[in-house]
Amino acid sequence: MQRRTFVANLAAAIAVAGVLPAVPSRRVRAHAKPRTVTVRIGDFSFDPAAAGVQAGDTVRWVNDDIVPHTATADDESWDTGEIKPREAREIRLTAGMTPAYFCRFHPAMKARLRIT
Amino acid sequence: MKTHRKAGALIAIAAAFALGVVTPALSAENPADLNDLQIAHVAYTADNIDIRYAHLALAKSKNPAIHEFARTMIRDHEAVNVQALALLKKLGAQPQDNFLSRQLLAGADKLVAEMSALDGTAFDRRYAENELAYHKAVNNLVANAFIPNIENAEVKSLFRAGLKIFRVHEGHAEMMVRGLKQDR
Repeated sequence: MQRRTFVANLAAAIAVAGVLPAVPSRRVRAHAKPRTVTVRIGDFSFDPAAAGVQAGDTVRWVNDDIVPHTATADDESWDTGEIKPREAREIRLTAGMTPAYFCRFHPAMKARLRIT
Repeated sequence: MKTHRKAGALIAIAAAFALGVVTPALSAENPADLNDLQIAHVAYTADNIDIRYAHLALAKSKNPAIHEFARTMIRDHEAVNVQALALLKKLGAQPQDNFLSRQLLAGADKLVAEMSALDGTAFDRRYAENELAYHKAVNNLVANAFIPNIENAEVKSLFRAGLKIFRVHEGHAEMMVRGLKQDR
């Protein structure tokens, strides 16, 4: 028990000294490996309609419809621009981005990002 | 097939009346009797008519919502036409002119003349109301007269995809009409 406490204290001291990273939290570990999350656009809807993502991840919208679409923040703070049929556009997520979005060309198409 | 033609005939004629393209004397010509290549011609003509209305709207309206809708009509109907022409090329077929295409064009000429004489909100309302009525009528024709009677599987599939798009346009037109009423 004493030996375990000593090792833990030593690890904490080293971490504070900046030699080793502090024990990673789940959030920090997820940020260490950003993912690319794909949202498919087909039949005039976004799938998934509520993609789970984290700041640092990239969202890739793939247009499987035969007409162009966009993914545009509800407050228009971000916008993929026109995504032509069989093309894709990507946006890298940052903290505080507006999660709700729609297609500027077809305003009834709505979705959101579940940013954690 | 015959049953489908009979079932769709009355609805198709009613839709054609709604488009303002059928007079009682001409109603003996039934949209449900058109063959695949004639149906393709009607669809291509209907697409181009809506693109024409959209260009008129971009030239005459100052309303941003009307402009956004009109640009979407041009973008989407041109995209559908590209698909339709590619499919016809693949099938080695040519669309066939027919009574309904000619009547659609005649109706469009009249409407363009009427809308050209309007300005401001009067134009915006006429354009929006026509877009709603036009998409409703065309969707009715496509769903009840064309899709049940199209024989080629690829053509039928393209029309099903087109119908989904045009139903979204109908919903968008409905929003536009409501928005203009609230602006009064």
